[in-house]
This record gives sequence, structure tokens and C-alpha cells, in this order.
Amino acid sequence: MSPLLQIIIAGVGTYLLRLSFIGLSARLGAPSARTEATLGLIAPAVLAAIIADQLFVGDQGLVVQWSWWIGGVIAGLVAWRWRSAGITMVVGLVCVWVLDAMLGM
Amino acid sequence: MSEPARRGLRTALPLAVSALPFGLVYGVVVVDSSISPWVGLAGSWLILAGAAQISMVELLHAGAAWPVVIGTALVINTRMALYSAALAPAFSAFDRRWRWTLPYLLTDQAAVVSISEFEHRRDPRERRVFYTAAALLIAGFWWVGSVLGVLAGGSIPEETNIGFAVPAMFLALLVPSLSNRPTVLAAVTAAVVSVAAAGLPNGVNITVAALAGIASGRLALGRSRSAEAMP
Repeated sequence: MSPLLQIIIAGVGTYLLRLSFIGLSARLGAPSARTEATLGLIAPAVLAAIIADQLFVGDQGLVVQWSWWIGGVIAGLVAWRWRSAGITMVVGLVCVWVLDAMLGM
Repeated sequence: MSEPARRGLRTALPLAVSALPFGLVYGVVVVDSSISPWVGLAGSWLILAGAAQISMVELLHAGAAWPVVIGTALVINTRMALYSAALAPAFSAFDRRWRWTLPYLLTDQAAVVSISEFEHRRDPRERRVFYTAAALLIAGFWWVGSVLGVLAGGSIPEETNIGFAVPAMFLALLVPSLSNRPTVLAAVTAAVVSVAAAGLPNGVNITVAALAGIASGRLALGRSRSAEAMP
């Protein structure tokens, strides 16, 4: 199968995943308070899973990358203090550059 | 421009900017592979999900069988179904045409800013305009980043650590969402399981970790309710 066709099929499949609950939403009715509270857990769980994967997991399993780990902690503190994605990214990236330059990590 | 559109663009701008380096990384991966740049760029339009696209291109380059390539992309993107569930109550008030078209633009960033905004914005039309503005801006930067990455190719040295923009962007989204004990527990559990399950095939660890996080947060919700009910 050609690469383009594989990408098209993956694109259609991804669209259906995005549509899944939204497409059914009109039939599902208003969620209960219990369901709504559970839905509120989705974003933190997915985001934390992605972040941990990015910081600790490489192609060959677990990776040691001190500058990214320290940069991640500092970026997390900046995000908590300023609640700004722009400041968080800039400070995080600068930290990683400085740490790499200073420590050769 | 209406207030919800302005607000959507303003909220999404820093996240959209951070989608740019992610797009650059994808473009470089495409150029470094044996896949045609045009086919790679088509992925940014058709799939619109960075991690899945990068994995697909790497697998295509390695000559993996098509069920593995497509299956990997879909497994990585199962989290989109979770976002779909989170946004479904708000989208249920939209016209059918919007319910069927707007999910195409659903990304991690668009989902998270919209979930947060919808907590205090109740009007369905305003919600739709906010989501559309934010999601389009993020997708636009992703598309531009992909093109720039393909054009720049191998001229972006690895030492720039530009890839760190991706976890930094997700941290900026995560931290404000940690509003109570169950959300913190869900995040910590998901992070631990994501690393513990790192040996699973491409991307499966993220879905498993997210489900484990949601389950643990749910338990904490149950406990806090029980505590509140006690005399």
C-alpha cells in the first residue's frame, strides 16, 4: 500500500476518533455531575502521560537527559507562577540551552 | 472580530507558536526519511497530530507493514477520543454541521484551552467561535512549521534542543489544570505509568497511562465525595 494511502487511512481514522463522542453527543444528553467530574480528569492525565514520555522515554527505552529534566522542573514552576505558555516555553528552552552549555549534558 | 474569537486567538497564540517548532521537528523527520516531502506534508493536513505523524514517517521509512503503520498512528491518537468525550457536552449544543466538521481541528492544545474556557463560558455560539479561532490558529502554525521544517531540512542542529518546546508547551497546559487532589493524582499516576510502560510498542504507553490516571483520579473523587457525605 502506498505511503499516501496509509496516511489518508490514518487521517480518516484519526478524524473518526475525534468525532466519536462529539458525533454522539446530541443523543447522549447532559452528563451527570459524576461523569462531568470524570471528564475533568482527562486533560491532566493525557498531558502528564505525554510530558513524562517526552522527558523520560526515547526510541530505545528510558533516557537520561538531565538538562531536559531540570528544564522541565523549572518550566513547571514558571507555568505554576505565571500561567503563561509563552513565558513557560521561553524560560524552559533558555534553561535547557544554558544547562547544556554549562554542564555539557 | 467578536470577543470570543479574539479571546480564542489570544489564548491559543503562545500554544500555536509552540506548535511551530514541533512542526519543524516533523518536517526534519520527513526530509531525513525516504518519504516524499509532499506525502509527508499531506500528513500534516490529513492527520494533524504530530506524535502520530512522526511515528508513521519513521515506520514508513523503516519499511513496516501497513497495518503496523496505520495501527500505530491510531493507537497514539486514541487520546483524541478522550478529548472528544470531554468536549461532547459542549458540542452537543452546536448545529449538526459544526459537530461533524469542527472535530477535524481537535488537537491537544485546542482541547485543553477549550475545556478550560468552557467552564465559565456557557453560550454555545461563543463556545463554538472560541474553539474555532483557537483550533484554526494552532493548526495553522502546525502546517507552517511542517513546511518550514521540510524546507530547512537538516540545517536545524540537534543542539538547539528545539524539541524541548513540546514538553514545555504541554507543561504550560498541564499545570493550570491541576485544580484539586483528584486532578493531581490523575496526573502523577499517568506520568508514572507512562514511564513504567515505556517498553510497550509505539505510543501505547501514553494511552494506558492516561486511562490509569483517569481511573486513579476517579477513585480520589469517590473518596472525597464519601468524606463530604460523612456527618
